[in-house]
Amino acid sequence: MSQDPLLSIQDVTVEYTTQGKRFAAISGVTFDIAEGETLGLVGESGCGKSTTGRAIIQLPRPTRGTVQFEGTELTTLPYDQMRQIRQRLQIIFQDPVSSLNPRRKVKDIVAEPLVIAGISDKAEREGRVREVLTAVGMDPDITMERRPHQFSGGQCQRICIARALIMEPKLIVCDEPVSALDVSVQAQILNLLEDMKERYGLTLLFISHDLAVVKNISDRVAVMYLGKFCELASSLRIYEAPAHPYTAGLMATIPTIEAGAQLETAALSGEIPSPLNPPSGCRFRTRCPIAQDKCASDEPQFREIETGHFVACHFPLTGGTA
Amino acid sequence: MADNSTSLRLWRQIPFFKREEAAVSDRIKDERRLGWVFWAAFSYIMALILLTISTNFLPYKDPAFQDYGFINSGLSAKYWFGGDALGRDIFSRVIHGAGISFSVAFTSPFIGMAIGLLMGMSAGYFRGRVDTVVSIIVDSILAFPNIVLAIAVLFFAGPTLPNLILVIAFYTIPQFTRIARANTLLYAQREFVMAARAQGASHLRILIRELLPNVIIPLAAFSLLVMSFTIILEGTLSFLGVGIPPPTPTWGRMISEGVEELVENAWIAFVPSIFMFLTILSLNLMGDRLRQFTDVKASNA
Amino acid sequence: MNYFKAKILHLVPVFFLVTFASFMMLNLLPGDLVDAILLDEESSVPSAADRAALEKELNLDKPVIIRYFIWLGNMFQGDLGRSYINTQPVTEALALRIPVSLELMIMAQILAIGIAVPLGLISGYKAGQPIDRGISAGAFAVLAVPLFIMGTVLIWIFAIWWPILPSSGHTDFAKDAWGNIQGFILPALTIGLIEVPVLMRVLRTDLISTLQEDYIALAKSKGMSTRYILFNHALRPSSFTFITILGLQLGNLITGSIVVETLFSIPGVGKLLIDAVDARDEILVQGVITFVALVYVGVNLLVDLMYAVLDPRVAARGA
Ligand SMILES: Nc1ncnc2c1ncn2[C@@H]1O[C@H](COP(=O)(O)OP(=O)(O)O)[C@@H](O)[C@H]1O
Ligand code: SF4
Ligand SMILES: [Mg+2]
Repeated sequence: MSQDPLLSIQDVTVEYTTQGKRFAAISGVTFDIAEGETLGLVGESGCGKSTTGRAIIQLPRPTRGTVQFEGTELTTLPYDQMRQIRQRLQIIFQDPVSSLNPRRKVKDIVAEPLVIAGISDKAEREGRVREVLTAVGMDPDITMERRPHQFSGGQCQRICIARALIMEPKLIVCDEPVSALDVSVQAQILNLLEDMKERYGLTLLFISHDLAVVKNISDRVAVMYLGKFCELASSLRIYEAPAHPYTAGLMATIPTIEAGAQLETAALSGEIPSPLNPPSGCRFRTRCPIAQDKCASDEPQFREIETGHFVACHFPLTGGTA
Repeated sequence: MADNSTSLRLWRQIPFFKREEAAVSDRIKDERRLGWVFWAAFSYIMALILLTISTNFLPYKDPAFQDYGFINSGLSAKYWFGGDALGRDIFSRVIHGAGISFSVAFTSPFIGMAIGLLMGMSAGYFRGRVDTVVSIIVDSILAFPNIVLAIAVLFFAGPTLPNLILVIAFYTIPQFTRIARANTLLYAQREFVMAARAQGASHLRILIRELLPNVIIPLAAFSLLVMSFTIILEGTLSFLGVGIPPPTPTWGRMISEGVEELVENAWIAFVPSIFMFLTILSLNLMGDRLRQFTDVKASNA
Repeated sequence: MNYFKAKILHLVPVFFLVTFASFMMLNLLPGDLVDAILLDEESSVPSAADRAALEKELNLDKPVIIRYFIWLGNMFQGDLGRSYINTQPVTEALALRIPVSLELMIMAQILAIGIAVPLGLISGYKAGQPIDRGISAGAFAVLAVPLFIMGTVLIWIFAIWWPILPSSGHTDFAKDAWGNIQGFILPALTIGLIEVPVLMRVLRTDLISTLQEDYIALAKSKGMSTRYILFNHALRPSSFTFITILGLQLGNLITGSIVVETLFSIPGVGKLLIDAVDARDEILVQGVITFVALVYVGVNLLVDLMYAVLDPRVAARGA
């Protein structure tokens, strides 16, 4: 990439402690996001997508690795300076209902980032709340004085988006923003995100466990398995010619009428190993249909097999062999 | 960590607050309304509070005045509930006695609630070491059987109203701490707390703006049950003669004096007993109902 | 095993806290400690000899911490000081009273269980039906009755209105066993009745969940009688439930015996405490309170340990 990326993640590892055991929820994650881009992040539930998204906003801070945002290193930034940056770095969660405090009015929820940023003029705050609520398609007159439980899931997600937008951030981490919504509402929210992206000049990290959802919205797509990146390529390439057997397996789960689909669905059966005790070598080998001896002994490196197409596999399906 | 043993201890301390029974759901009620029983209880308590306040400006008989013509007299137009063994007006003494009960019931639980909120919310939000320290403090409070410490403090430091209020407040801390902690743990996992952190809110702001409004609701409902616990404890101390000393009339002391006259003039003990029973019953009914009510709301949200 | 260690280690700070608080109580007394102890309304100014003796006994010339450890050392040798009213050693007074309180508490528990088990059984078996609702409402009402009101009402019913039991006094068991037991019935019933709602609910809940088990349905389908099922299958009160109850009741039993011994004039530890308070016998009050607090801490620890022995999950979670 010629230009400096907006966000640059290098070798990030996040460790958690569960039942007295320490384990890496994600390890050695490396990627960039260019300004104005939408990067999709896909993987089965529990593979570390949310952890990756939260590592970006430093909640919690990664155990190892670096996170650079607009040229600033975040992992070592003092708390009060981090607070300044947070205005430009927002997050939207999967469960819109749980994301809104049931005891507060929408008006106060959406204005909260302004208050935290120290904007004390009440009229100014109210004006900006109205503006952003209108932008996400909610009528401010009806919405502002109500509490979250009076709205549907889709409406709540709109309010969450309004709250994320009010400080006019550069980057928004969208952590499965439509997974909890009805299918009919999903498309509306995805369209809204696209519109907002254009209007506010946003950069998005779009997380989903569903390749189909990511497909249209993303410029590039990254695929994760058990805390590690498997593949990263432009949206077009990854759907046309997936190089990693896991990506290919995920692809097969997208409903199609093609005959070949069924064969490969079988490839993704089997249990996901515990992240507390991942397999040696390639982490996917216990479920990989083409695994060989080498896969158990050597860990495949995350390498570029064609321009802008990265894969962590000894025997990629396209773009050359090991 | 000290989670289970702490809550077990707390339940042990307050056995009359029954545990929720997950297995049983035979109580299907109208969940949206408080019901007439609640309002009856509420009316009784309000009436008693108004009567108590009215002692400040209405000309009740002096609760300490001894009218020798009315010693152990029965009900009459002059002495509505009769006179006691010293010829004092039982009605006036019951109303004045309610004042002591209420002045403890309306202060102790709130002191305990404030401290319990502070400790429970800190423990539930920061967890780890803070949680350990809080659980040690709570365990230490529970290490004394409540009545014994209350007797000790009132005996050695003096049977004054402030001492009484403080020592009873001390005993309400563990219950409030436990509920505040459990609810904070519950709400701290909600994504709106993560969202507030992502916006750069400080811990203090999260605790006050995001968590407190949620945590205080179940605590407020619970405080009614604590009020009834408070009234029982105050009454017990007065009955034992270690509470507020005469001439201030208290229900507990009236009952203990009435026991002396039980053979001939049982009503002297029974009048304050009935008032006390109805007060505790009303507070329990209201607290129980409000707790169900707030539980339902919390699970709907 | 870690759990046990942790629990017992936990006892160390609690022990020091409780004993130190008990020790420091004397210092809460307003004014000069010696004067406060020796002065009571009737007697005149204490003699210099009395003062000197007490000062020596309380080691008032030494710093507080040293005094505390001396006091603690004496306590371990069974010396909690002596009463300044009748010069009886505190431990001797306690030794005379403990059996009386124990008998009261045991009888109270027996009566409580005797009443609660049948009520809990009916209530659980007929859950949701009118009889269960009636029992539950009754239990709710009893929860609103303070001990001393319960005692007063029982005295009025069984000693005055229908005089079949004594309302006060205590007879030595060795001299008149029946009289002794009779004297304990009303006081024990007072405490017992207060416990019933809690016991009953625990049992009812247990029973309801047991009755939902498959083997009960099997027994029913085999045509076994209700009574047989209830007593041979459903009512198998686990020792865990029993220990839970024991733990639940401890604080109540202590409060209960203090109130009831005072109301019924029974010479137990509770009466000793209240009499000492009335007589302003500071050393005796301090001694009794220390004793009761230590028993309370000890029994609580025992209950916690028994929990863990009976249900290993407690130990696993708590470690
Ligand atoms: N706060 C936490 N403490 C301990 N383990 C966690 C925590 N958050 C997530 N995990 C674990 O880390 C792994 C990755 O979780 P997550 O990033 O939420 O996955 P995803 O979002 O892809 O479903 C999972 O095994 C999860 O159980
Ligand atoms: S490295 Fe081996 S096991 Fe892993 S995905 Fe590639 S072929 Fe499968
Ligand atoms: Mg997730």
